[in-house]
Amino acid sequence: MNGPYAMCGKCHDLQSQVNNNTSWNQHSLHINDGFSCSVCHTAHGMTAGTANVTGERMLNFDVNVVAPNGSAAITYDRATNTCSLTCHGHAHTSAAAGLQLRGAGPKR
Amino acid sequence: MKRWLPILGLLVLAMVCVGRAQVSGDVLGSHNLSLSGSSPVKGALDPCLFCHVPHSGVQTTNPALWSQTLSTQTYKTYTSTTLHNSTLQPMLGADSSLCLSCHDGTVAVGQTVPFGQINMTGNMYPADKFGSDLQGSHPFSLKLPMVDAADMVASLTTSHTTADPTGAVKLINNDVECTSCHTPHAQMVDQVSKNFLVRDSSNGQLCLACHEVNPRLVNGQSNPLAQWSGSIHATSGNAIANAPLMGSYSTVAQNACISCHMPHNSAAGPRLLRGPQPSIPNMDAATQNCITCHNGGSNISPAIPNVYAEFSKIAHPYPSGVNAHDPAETALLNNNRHATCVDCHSPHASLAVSSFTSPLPPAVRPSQNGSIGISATDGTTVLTPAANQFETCLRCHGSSTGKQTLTVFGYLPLRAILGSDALSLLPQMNTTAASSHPVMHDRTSPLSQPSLLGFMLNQDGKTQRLPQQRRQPRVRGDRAQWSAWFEVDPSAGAAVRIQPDRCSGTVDYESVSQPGFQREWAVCHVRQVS
Repeated sequence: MNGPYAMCGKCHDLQSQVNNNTSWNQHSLHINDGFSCSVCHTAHGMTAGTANVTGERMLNFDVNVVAPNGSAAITYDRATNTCSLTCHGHAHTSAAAGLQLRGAGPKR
Repeated sequence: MKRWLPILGLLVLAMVCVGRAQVSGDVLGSHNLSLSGSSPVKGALDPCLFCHVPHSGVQTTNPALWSQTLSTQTYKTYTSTTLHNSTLQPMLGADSSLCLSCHDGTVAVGQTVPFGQINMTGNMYPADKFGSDLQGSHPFSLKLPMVDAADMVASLTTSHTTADPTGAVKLINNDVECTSCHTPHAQMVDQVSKNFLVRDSSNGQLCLACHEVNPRLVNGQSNPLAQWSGSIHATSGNAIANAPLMGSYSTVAQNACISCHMPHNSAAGPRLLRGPQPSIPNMDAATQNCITCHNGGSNISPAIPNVYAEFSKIAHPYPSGVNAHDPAETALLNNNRHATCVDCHSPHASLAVSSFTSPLPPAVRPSQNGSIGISATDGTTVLTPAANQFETCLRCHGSSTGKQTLTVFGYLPLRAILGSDALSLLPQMNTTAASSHPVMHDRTSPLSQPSLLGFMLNQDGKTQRLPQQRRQPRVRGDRAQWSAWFEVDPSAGAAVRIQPDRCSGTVDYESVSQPGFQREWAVCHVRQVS
């Protein structure tokens, strides 16, 4: 495992676990689209009381890549595994509307 | 008066005879400046008379009947941020001024008061001429009375005596002078050093006459040398292969202090560090000192791991000159951003690393023994020593001010949630964090973590799997044993004990004290299947 995944791959089984969607069923989709772990995950941790982003699973989006979806704040909801954000013009809508899969927005 | 003359004559004769007795053989060594002597600089005069004369000598109060013209040089004397006893100009007539009458190089050798300039041939060795800058030499001629310090022998100030059991290392008039360590009349008391030392100085014995290596607490400061005796730098039998750079003795342990420090001619000045020759450009003195041996090269045999090579990767940058490490700096490195070897390691306490599993992280590795840290609980309490590796990191990466990002470290994501101090790892990783990698605390998340590789933590995140290499049972009699370290969550106590993998027998737990951690050594006893 090379590139932006190398450090994470020292402890996490990227090949047969992460990329096989054993922890989240959309991991493979995102990784194969070329996103590094750090686009969605912070390496260290999430501070307490982190509004909007729930703080679970060390989710803290890189806003150099991710933008709000319209007027809604950037959020991650672990219970439904859904997000509210726009990524490269690809809109994600959170729990109420369910997860938006790829192809729902203009791709770059 | 006349009746005293014969007595005076006898006295002078006796002095000359004593002098002659001392000159026999090679006792004076290179201090024998006579034509028959072994000094590199020679002249036609009795060897005693270069330094001593019974009459008409230096008109300064001195008990040595001094012959050589004294130097009136004003010196730059030793100073450092950790020096407790400030240095003064050597007093004319005091022992050190007598030595400097030749060894500062400003007065010609053989420039005697009673006989004028003796015609001399040859020159002193350059290393023996200290010039006017004594900042690379061990401090002497201290401001009295001496001040006590945790890393100094207590008797220096209480009774003006050293801890040298032979009594050879002495304070001179309650002060440190050249003659505290050197005897000008015998070159080879230490037959390896041959530097006119008053005693055998192998294993740092001369230094330890004044520098305390037992625990002491003075003015709230604990002795940073307290763990010296057991440290790898005091005990290593690795041979020093490159004598000119290192000490004169064979092994690291025998060289002891002088493996890293030099009592004279230190280019680094404060702390009298040796450093490699030639020096490594753009690298602070402390790091250079370590690299001399820790570069995987030929200075030491057997060679030790090449730590220097690690720094050729993306690593902590060396101090650039304005942000150097200083032993007097605060543990919390506000603004003064740097990371040298000695910020994470204590060279006077380091132990050899023989295993990366004992003790398990996050406890400090043996090489970090005695290093300081900052508590993860409040981000400010200084821990002397640190118990965990991350406490060392928190000297810079916690609540300190002046944290910065450098392009050398590559791309920095801009996070949706930054917090008030985005570069502080404390709120991201301490026990209040909503979620974090379990570095500063055990894993607390109830969520499953299926993505970890097999050799990583068990999925409870608290106990380590039985190391692969220990899974084969050791057979003892009719029992087989597996054994492994288990880190126990202190809040949950014994409830989280996990049976070692494949242990179907009884498990004996033995608590092992680790600083800051509750750890147990588990042994699985299984009756062997016949």
